[in-house]
Amino acid sequence: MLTEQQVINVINNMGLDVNLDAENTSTDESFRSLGIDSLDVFNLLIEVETLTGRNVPDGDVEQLTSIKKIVKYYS
Amino acid sequence: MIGIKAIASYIPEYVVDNFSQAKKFGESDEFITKKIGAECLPRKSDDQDTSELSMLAVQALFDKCPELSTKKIDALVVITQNPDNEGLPHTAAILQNKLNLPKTVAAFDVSLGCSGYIYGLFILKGFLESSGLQNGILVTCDPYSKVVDVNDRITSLLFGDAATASWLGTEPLWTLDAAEYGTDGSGADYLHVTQGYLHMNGRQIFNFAASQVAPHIKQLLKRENISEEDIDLFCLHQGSRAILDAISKHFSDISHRFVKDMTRTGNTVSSSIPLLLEKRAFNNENVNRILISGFGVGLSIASAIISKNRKELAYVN
Repeated sequence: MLTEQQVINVINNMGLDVNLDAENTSTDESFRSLGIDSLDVFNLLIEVETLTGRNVPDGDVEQLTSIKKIVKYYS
Repeated sequence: MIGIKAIASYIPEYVVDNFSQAKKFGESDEFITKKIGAECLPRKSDDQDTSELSMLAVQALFDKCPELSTKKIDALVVITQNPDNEGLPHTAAILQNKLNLPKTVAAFDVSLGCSGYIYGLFILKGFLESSGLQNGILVTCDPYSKVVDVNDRITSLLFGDAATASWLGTEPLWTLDAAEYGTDGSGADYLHVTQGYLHMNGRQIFNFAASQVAPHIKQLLKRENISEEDIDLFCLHQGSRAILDAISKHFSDISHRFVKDMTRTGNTVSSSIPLLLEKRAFNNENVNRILISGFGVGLSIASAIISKNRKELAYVN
């Protein structure tokens, strides 16, 4: 099962100008307001798919707008 | 031995300001510079077709290489998926006439996109060598402005028009050493033209590039027993800044050798690699071995290693 910390770790290792920590990051907050754009989300999902072994169909990507939503999707 | 003797190009002077376009879609300047990578996009004029841009690139090649007369040309190959008119006759035949090349010339199109330059190099090399011919011109010209929907957020911010012409001949400056190819037609839908407009599944194209290109390059290097450190420059198809960053991170120790230069051109499809070679590599004394890789529509991929021919250090200006 995917955890919020795992998703945060992936984001932090992506070389973006964001540095999240579980304590101070609202996992409800949208990626856009965290400074993570659509192409960053593509990158993020590649890593998450590799981590979980489960692909996300194109039609489901639009709904994955926050860390919490990704974790819920994989639960 | 057939290899590359010279490269020239034509880039239209008229450009579209990508920052202004981005605002229309609610995207920031940072998205343009850090993710797309193109601040402006060259656009051909409405009365120019593919053969016209191609002709201008070939004329630039003749200007650069006065020793290359039209009489010497044995073959003319045009890499395009946006040919003149409706594709019949082939653009290479139209171009042969525009350039007044001999009627003995072999002229044909090759329908490939972003991988097309590399396929074209080895197709033309093989064609010339197996036919006992000496000189060929490889043209890349795929003006996507013909098919881009200006209301489509990603494709209208990405593609620029350009044409290049490479002289392939004997006693080359650059040898074509090895290549690796690949095709996955299950991804054909991810980039296609329907009813005259380009449709791109940005995520799947990004995924293909981000996950397949680095292993493809590594496979070629391993097969040729060459280490990454022995490559002076990696001149990859300039798909987008985001794609280049995603690929180069798999080569973290030498990521600085990945050329990222599409600020003034955008993604010029099959012209992107020869534009880089012309501008950043061929006249650089410190560059002796280059890895080139093109990937995209098809889905198609090709990677190759080219190296400076030490026997031919004469500089063609």
